[in-house]
Parts: sequence; structure tokens; C-alpha cells
Amino acid sequence: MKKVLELDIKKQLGSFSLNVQASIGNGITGIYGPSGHGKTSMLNAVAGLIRPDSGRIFLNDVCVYNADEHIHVPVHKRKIGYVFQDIRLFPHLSVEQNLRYGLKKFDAVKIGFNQVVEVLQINHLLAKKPSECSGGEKQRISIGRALLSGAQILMMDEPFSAVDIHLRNSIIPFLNAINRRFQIPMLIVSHDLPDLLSLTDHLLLLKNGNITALGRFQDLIQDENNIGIMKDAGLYNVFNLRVSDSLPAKNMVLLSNKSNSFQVQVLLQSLLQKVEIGKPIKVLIRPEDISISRQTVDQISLRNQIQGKIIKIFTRKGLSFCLVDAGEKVLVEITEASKQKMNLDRGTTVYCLFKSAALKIFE
Amino acid sequence: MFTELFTYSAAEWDAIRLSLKVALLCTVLILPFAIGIGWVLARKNFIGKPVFEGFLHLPLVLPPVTVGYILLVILGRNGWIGHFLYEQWGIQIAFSFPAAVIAAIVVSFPLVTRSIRLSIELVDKNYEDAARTLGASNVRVFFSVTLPLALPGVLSGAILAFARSLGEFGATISFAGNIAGETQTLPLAIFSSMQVPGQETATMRLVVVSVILSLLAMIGAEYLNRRILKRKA
Repeated sequence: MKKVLELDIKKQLGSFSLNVQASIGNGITGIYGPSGHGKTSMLNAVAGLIRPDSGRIFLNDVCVYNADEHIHVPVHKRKIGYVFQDIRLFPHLSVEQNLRYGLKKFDAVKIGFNQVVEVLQINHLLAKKPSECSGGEKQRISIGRALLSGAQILMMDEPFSAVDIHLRNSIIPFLNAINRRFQIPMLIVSHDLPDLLSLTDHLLLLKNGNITALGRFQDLIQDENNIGIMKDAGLYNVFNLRVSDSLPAKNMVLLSNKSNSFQVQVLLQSLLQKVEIGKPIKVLIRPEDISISRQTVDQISLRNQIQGKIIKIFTRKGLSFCLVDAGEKVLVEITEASKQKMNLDRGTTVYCLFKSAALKIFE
Repeated sequence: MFTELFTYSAAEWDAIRLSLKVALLCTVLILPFAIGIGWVLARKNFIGKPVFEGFLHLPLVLPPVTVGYILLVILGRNGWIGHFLYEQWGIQIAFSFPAAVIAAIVVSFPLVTRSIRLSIELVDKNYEDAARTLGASNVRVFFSVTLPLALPGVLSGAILAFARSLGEFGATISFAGNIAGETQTLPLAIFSSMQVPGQETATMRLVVVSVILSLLAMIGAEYLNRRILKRKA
């Protein structure tokens, strides 16, 4: 995979020290960490808004910062699209002037103005002033403005926090569309894990200014330390599935992974759009919303009973986490007492039970 | 009596015209420097900044006559710089129209700079950072973001300069003199008219103009100040 961003920097900010080494490729990378653990500082260092004390930063193999060689490419020459947490649209300019602010007249146009306006659905706002737009609209305008500045990477700081909770889900399809349509690598910072997971599987975990993990979420949850970091943020299982069958008689839809080794049933109503076979759907479920039994249970309302084998089991603060291989890796949280009573161990065959209603669905 | 109050003599018109000319020239000339220094004071820190600021604000508290005298010492025909100008090019500044403009500039400079500096300080630096990430150089950031956002403050500073120039007396009379048609601005004309017995109506005519012009300028400045506060909120 091509490396878009490579960094190895140290920066002392008061009593807080940022110390990150990472190599980030194409696609969407989610940067997760609790508030005040260095996420924004990391973005600011990449953008050039703060100057690290030591280290190096490469953007698409071009050195933009090297402490030893005294290289510090100024902000305006770095070609970074930065969508700030507080949006920062210029209040004295119209929406269109904001969008065109970073547009270079003489550069080969990679991303066209009309395309961006169309994808972000902001055509009707062009003549307005930013103050006349809603929170969600401002956010889209600010994303468009960053895209149009000829950016080689798009960085977004808490794109979900500025918008109303109802609007969060409406911004996610736009971000996905941007990534697909414009093939631009994206770094998305959030302290909200489910929001990030709805966008990407590729995560970077920051804690106390250090990167503790970088990789696919499905791999990260196999490590107890990562679980500890993510637990407080609302840890979820993430499954990338497709619609494999609709069961209109039962008012259910069947979703499967690529190899059909993992299937879940969801309520027809929980899908917003028309059901089409093969349509990709992302499904999230909390580890504590899954129960474990050693046999299938017949006299029970739960529709989803998935067989698997425990491949890892560990205890943290009185809770037991079982990683079950059921075609996909499923993380299940149970109490220590249940674990002992059921005599669970590595290799035990179990059934993962959950209600269809416990699933969070992203189309 | 009433019509007399609005019938201006040619000499009185001269004084009014001259005042407006001095005030306008002063405003136009002062702005680039005031914007530059205002930006430096708002955004930069350097050694000796308090001393520099103190020096800059001096004309605000010095008696204008003192300012005029100092200008004379520097730019008069025998002054440090004036002497050189006269010897080299035969230029004589003191007791001429340019002297009236210079006197107006020096006394209004601290007022204008202060107003511009405050309005630049109120511009959120985050907008400037955002402009940089969009590829704008420092110069472009200044002209496309900082200055437009500080514009009401700049305009209100300009009006202050205009109003202060209109009212300038002490520095003008000591540095530019009281030459009718050349340096005799409205306040100087009022002063001269007051010295002559029986000229009460003529004096009142000039006073009325003086009050009206100053009032218009202050209303304009107040209007702009409100706009700044509104934009901030």
C-alpha cells in the first residue's frame, strides 16, 4: 500500500508530550483517543500549524518537516485539506467565495468545483453567507472548501461533534461518497468510536500523546490493551456484510459476509432504503449486547444464534472478554462469574446470541 | 440675523475648504501606516514593545503646542531634518500647507492606530490559520481575511483621523502658522475671528460648521463601532 503520510515526531506542549510514529496509507484512517490525548495536536503538526521539537514528517514521500535538516515547509505550501472542529468558514465571504478560496487558477484541476458541489449537495447555498446556513450545511461547505484547495490529504477534526446528533448519520454518507468519488486519503479524528467505525475499519489509537495501535479494527480488538483504551468509548463489533436474502414473510433481511460463513438477521424496518441483494451494509453491535450459550436455545425470542469457537479469552476489571471466531471475529463481554460457571476456555464451541434490535446499521 | 448666519464670506469658505482638504489628505496618508503599525502591535511581540507603544501614544497626551514645537525643531528651516531638506532641495515645510497636514497626521496617528490595532486583535486567528491551510500566503491572508474582518475598525479609525484633523489647533498654529488660504483651518479661523471685536456673527457661522462636521464624523464612527460589536456577537 502506498504511504500517504509518514511521521515520527516529538513535541512538548506544556506538561503534555506528543510522541507519535506512524505510517498511514490510502483510504480512510480513523484517529481515536480520549479528549486531550493529542489528536488535534497531531493534525496541527501535520498541517504545519505547530512545529514539532524533533523528528520528521513525509507527505506522499515529500519531506515537509525535518528537524535535523531544519526543513519546515510553511502551512500554505503543504497542500493539506483541514476541516477544523469549529468549521471556520470566512464570515465575510459568500459560500461560493469560501469554496473557491483555495482554488488554484493555474493548477491542473483534479477535483472540479461542480463535482464537489454536487456530491456535497450545496448547490442551493452558493449565494448565501455562512451565517445563513445550518450546522450540517456549514460542515459540508467546509469539507468542500478543503477538497477544492488541491489537497493531497483530507484531515477532519471531530467532524461529528459540530453537528447535531440527528445530523451525524447524514454526514457519514457524504464522507464515504467523497472518499469513493475523489480517491482522496482521509484522516478523521474522533473521540466517538461508533461514529468512526461506521466510516472505517482502519484505526489509529492515541493515548497520552502516544500511538498505541494502528491497524484494522478487527485485528486491534484481539489485543487486551487496545480493548482497555476503547472500552470507555463504546466498544463495538463491526461487520462488513451484504444483503444476501430478504425474508419478507418474517419481516426480516438476511445479511452475510463475503464467504457466507457469517450471517445475521435484521429487521426489515431498520433498513432505510430499498433492499437490494448484494448491497453492502455495515453492522455494529456492542460486545455486552451479545450473550453466550453452549447450545442453541429453541424456546427463546432471539433470532440470531451464531456458532463459533473461542479463540481468545481474557479478564479485565472483573469482566471477561471472549473473542469468538464465528466466520467473523466477534468480541463478547460477559461477567467473570458466567465465564467460570460455564467453564469457558480457548477452543470451547459456543453460540453467540443477540437481538436483531441490538444491531446498529449503516447503509 | 438668521440669513447672516448662513452667508459665508470667501475667506470663510477658504477656511472650510482648507480644513476639509487637510483632514482628507491626513486620513488618506495616515491609513497605510496606521494599518501596518496596528497589525504589528496586534500580532507581534518584540523587545521594547512597551517603549515603542509609549512613544507612539505620546501625541495623545502631550499638549498639541508641544507637538507643534517639536515638529518645528525637527522640520523647521533650521531643524535637524528641515535644515537638510532646505539646503539640498530648497524645500521648506514649516509654515506651509504640508506642515498643516503633517501636524494633523502626527496628532491623529495614535488614535487611528489604536482603533485599528483593537479591531485586528478581535479578528480570530483561527480564520487566518484556516486560510493558510487553503494555500494562502501571509500577504494574501492579511488582505483577504484579516483586513476585511477588521474593516469596520479601520473605517472607524479613518473617521477618527478625519475628525481629529478637523479639530487640530495647537500643533498647527505653532508648526504651520496661521496663514489665511494656506494654513488657516477652521479652528484657526475661529480663533482669529474671536480676536476681532464685532465679529461675533462671523465666529458663530464658523462654529456652526465646525460642530456639524464633527458631529457627522462622530455619528459615523459610532455606527461603525456598533457594526464591529454586532459582527463579534
